[in-house]
Amino acid sequence: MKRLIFIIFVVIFIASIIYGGKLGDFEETETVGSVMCLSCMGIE
Amino acid sequence: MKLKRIVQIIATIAQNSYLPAIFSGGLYQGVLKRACTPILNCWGCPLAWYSCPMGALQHFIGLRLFPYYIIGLFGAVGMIVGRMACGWLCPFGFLQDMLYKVRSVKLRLPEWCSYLKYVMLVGVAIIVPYLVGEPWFCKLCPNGNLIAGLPLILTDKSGDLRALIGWHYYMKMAILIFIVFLSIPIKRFFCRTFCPIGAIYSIFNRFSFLRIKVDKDKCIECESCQMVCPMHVPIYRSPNHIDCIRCLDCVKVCPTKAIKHEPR
Repeated sequence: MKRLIFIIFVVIFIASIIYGGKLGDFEETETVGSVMCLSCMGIE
Repeated sequence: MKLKRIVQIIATIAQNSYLPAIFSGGLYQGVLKRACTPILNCWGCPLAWYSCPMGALQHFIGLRLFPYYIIGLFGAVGMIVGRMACGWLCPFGFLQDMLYKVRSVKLRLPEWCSYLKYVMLVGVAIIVPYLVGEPWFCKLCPNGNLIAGLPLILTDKSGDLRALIGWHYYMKMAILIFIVFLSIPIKRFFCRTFCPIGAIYSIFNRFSFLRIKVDKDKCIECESCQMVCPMHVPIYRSPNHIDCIRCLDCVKVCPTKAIKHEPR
């Protein structure tokens, strides 16, 4: 039973990655640095 | 050399080996930046191939978008191996392991400090970015300064970046020095107290597929596991503790072979 619940949760999380990908999360992640790079470097 | 060290070295190189940056400056901005590593590894590092999930999480929160991809990544990794990625793949964790090997007076961290990382996660990495739309954990992150800020400033031939240095840069530098200095006497100081990714994975330690089990009949409570543990976790009392990074050093050192790692 515990193993089944574990598998269900893993499937939900993998589905979340795929759904995010369909919504354009991967492309948005690629642009992260253009917005935040200066924050990482500590300059304004 | 231990298997864990070999994996840590390979993981560090695999995540940070964009060599053209050394010769031509700049940083990698190709299609691989769509993928996040499962651990803290700054997007802005000139050598980095992948994005940092904590930076991406704050980016989505700042835009008021639900981070399906990042939540899915953290959840899937956490459910399968718990906090193992911290122990085997994180370059900043690897650096702290090395710093602790420096001969010095060694100190113990009070147990309540382990809960500070949840304040960092909820407060600095979730609530503040939601309210102000800026990635405030990145603004404080010592790893970002070490692998992105410092190398980019040091290799800035034009001087454009150096001209932008101000109080923020010096504050990040002070945080980095503080973390490095305390990582010499204290085991994995940053991972145990401030890392928001460690905080996320720690939630999964009790539910993950990979688990640590202690045979109470065999355990003689010699505390060898706690002594060798890079997070100073009392494994014999709490085998799936929030700070266990599944490095499996305790399994090897146990004199009675009471500690085992096994799937759920």
